[in-house]
Amino acid sequence: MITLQGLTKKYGGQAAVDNLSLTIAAGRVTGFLGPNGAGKSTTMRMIMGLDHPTSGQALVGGRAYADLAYPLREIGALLDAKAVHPGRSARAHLRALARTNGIPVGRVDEVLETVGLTSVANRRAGSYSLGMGQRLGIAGALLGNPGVVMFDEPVNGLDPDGVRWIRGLMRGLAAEGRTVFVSSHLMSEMQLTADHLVIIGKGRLITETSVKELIDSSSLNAVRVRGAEQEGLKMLVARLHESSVAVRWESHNELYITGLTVDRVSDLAFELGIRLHEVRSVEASLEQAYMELTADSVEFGAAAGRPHPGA
Amino acid sequence: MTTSMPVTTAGQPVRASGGGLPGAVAAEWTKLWSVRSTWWCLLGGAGLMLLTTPIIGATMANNKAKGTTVPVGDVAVATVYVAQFALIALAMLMITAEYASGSIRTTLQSVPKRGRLLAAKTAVAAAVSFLAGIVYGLIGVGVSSLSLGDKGETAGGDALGSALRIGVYLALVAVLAVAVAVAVRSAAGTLTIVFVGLTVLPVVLQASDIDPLVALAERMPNSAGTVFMNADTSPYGPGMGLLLLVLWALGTLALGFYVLRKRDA
Repeated sequence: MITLQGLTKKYGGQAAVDNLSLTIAAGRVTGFLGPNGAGKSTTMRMIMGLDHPTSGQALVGGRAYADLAYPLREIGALLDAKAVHPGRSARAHLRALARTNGIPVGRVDEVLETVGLTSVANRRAGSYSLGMGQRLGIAGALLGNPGVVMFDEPVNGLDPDGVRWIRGLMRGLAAEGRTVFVSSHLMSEMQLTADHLVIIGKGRLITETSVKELIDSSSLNAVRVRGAEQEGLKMLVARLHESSVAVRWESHNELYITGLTVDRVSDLAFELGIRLHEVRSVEASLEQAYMELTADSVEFGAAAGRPHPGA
Repeated sequence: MTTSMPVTTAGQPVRASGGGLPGAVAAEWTKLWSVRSTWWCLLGGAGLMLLTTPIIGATMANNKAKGTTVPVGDVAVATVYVAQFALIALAMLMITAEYASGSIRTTLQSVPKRGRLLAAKTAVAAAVSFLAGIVYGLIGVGVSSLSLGDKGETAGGDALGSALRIGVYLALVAVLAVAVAVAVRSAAGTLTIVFVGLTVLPVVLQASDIDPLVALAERMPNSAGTVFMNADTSPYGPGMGLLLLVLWALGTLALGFYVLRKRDA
């Protein structure tokens, strides 16, 4: 479990992380989302004792990182895949890590096996591809068999195979009862991996919610209707306007209706005697729900148009 | 695919022992010997001793009046001022290579107590430099007695004493290099500061002819090192030379620790 209590980091008066209080629970994957510059990496570095908070504290299992006697056995993190001396082999790198925390050296071969680097374990880390570097970083995170794991943008630069592997790994770690805290800005990936979400913007907590709740709350959930002829659809639109339901023309024979169920729309069409070729509910993606939520806190964003479903 | 971990209970310690300062030292030791640069530095230093000892020996012998001899230990000591930069590089790289590659973050995650980390790095750098220094000293003594022939003064015990003192000097210089490296982080910055501090600044101060500055120059690490290694008696004794060296090393180390503790990694 990770606990943040009023965690604040200021750089020259400007807050990168602003009074963040959170509990990241065990047994599920918690996605850590936010635009670039929102303070995700800074938060993670403070959890790992690398950066000093201006005020507040970050606790791992109730204690500050620097106070953990064997930190690698409590929490393992992948913060930067290339954080390995390029001239050192993966095996030597992991052995050195194991020695610092009294971890049996035999464990090194186990984690190398887990991440699939056994055959290249004696090669210099500088010769590794980005994906292999990422796997080595994960091997380091798993070395102490910690109850908490934390990954900063773990799928960046990975091929589809690597992305799938990391997804499975994180789900597996959470299923074993571990706390899994992962930052990403790939929403499609988070939709597949995370159970719970923490969303921050400009260093502040925007919301803490489940993936399902966030998607359900989107105004972009709609019913898509495709009609046989435009005349019928116009009748439907007129009727919906009477009851102040939001409707949008997608094309000459397609409508998006917000705030009604598929059943209700179908019944309405039947009452009006309109021939329809398609009625289905369109669910907002996590990305769309997220964009709606963070629209105000994008620090370096282009003035993008409002996203719409089915685009 | 999930993890194939043999330990099923999440968060259970693998084994509740080890680690601590001995673990940190063991890790630094493993790291030092798993990169090629360590071997290059050690061999480079030995090579410099082999190549430059005869030259420096010949120069020293030529400067002496006919019929007098040059103590081979003095030749070895003079040569160390060249070869020491190999060990300075070795000690420095234990820190600057980690900052350059970003692996300092991994290191600080495994050893979050920064004093412990610095102590481990310092201990390993000093121990390796001490042993390498003795070997360098023996090379210097051996080569100079061979190359100088009857112009060299070879008193057995004295020569061995010189080698031992060279080891101590180089261990303390390695501590100095670690301390500067941890404060400035970059290899170029560290080398510049150490080079200027050890060789340029004392000469400039000496040349100033201003008494307090000359006195300062005489108490800087290289002068103190010369007095200590040659067991000179002027301007102070070898014990004072050693004390000054230790003070410089520990003072710089305290400064480095202060910076490391404050800094965000």
